[in-house]
Amino acid sequence: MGIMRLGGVRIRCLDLQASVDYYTKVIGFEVTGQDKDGNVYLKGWDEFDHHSLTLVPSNRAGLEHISLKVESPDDLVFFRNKLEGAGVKVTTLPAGSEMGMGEALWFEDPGGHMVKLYAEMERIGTKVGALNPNPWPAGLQGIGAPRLDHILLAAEDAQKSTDFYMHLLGFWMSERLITKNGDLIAAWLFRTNTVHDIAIIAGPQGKMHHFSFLLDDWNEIRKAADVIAMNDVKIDVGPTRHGISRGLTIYFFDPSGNRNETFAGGYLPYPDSPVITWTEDEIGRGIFFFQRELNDAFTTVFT
Amino acid sequence: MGAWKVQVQADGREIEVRPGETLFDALRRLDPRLLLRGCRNGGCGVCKLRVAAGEVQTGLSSVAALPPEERAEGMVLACKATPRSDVVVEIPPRPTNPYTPRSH
Repeated sequence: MGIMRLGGVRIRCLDLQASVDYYTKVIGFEVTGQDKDGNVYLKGWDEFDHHSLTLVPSNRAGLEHISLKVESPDDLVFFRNKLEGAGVKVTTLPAGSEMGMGEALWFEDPGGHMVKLYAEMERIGTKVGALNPNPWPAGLQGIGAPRLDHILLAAEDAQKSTDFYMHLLGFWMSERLITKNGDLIAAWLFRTNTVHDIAIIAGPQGKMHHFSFLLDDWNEIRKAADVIAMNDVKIDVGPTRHGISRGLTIYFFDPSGNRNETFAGGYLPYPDSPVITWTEDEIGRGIFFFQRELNDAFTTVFT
Repeated sequence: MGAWKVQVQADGREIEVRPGETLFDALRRLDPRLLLRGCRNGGCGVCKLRVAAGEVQTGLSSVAALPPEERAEGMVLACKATPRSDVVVEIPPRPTNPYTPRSH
């Protein structure tokens, strides 16, 4: 019952071909389709649904929407009632609003981000299959990221957005960052057993900070950094470790300036795990555990 | 052909531009504090400045980062602007995120 995971992100691209090249040759995703509007659909090798990343040709960078996969069509009825009961305007999109996607709910979160809930998507299967599989497939390109991991969304009122995801959509909180007055700066929220599926940071309405791909461990982060550097991709920060989430990370930018991350490590939170709190005076250690200093660009650069 | 120079209007400091170099890279060599290091791909807009004099060639950028009306006033994204003559730039105050506390 409820939301299973961040199923997908739809990203605006200034130069579609440059973005397709980047997400296939550097990130290592594979193209699974292109629709009549020119949008390109991709997935990681360990993902089984039709796509988790959609690239949309646009004259601007940024996020078009996130997609959250729920367990069953009954959940769509449940969430429609719950959201409408809270005064949220919900539109039903017929099947096929994206390639392979069933009927979906469409609404805006308090941070100005569009959200889709869907229960059904065409299954392609993972690259290693589901019968006596190898641990990873031959022929991966670049980083060879197995799957999408999480997204960090900006919202002018981080508390309001966090409440929305927790109270209406059933997310739990693993960690939070607060000011000395106790006001929320950022929150890490999950529906899976990972530290975050969606995180919220106080920032300009409707903007995205980054979305992230999962990797296994520190060696893979190091290899990802090599691939990124060899391909002249613009690195933002890292490789380093987060105090918050304990994650191992490197941040970099796609050809349209959308921030990407590869993320490994972390820990397993449960719905009843105590929420970990970070205070404003420890923000440097919380975000970049080794450097212990937050660079201004990290909390200022959004698309 | 001599190297073109980029000059900061506020204090007159200047630096020679390397062949094909963007305003962003040249200005960061002059003084890394002049511009925040953002996406460098025309998407985020933190390196936005005004070309007060001179010619630049510009590349693809997001209209959310550089709206047409700002472009018409001579604003460019430094990461997507390559000098085609000596250039004088007017650099606006560094952008900040007003919703989060400063780290230091």
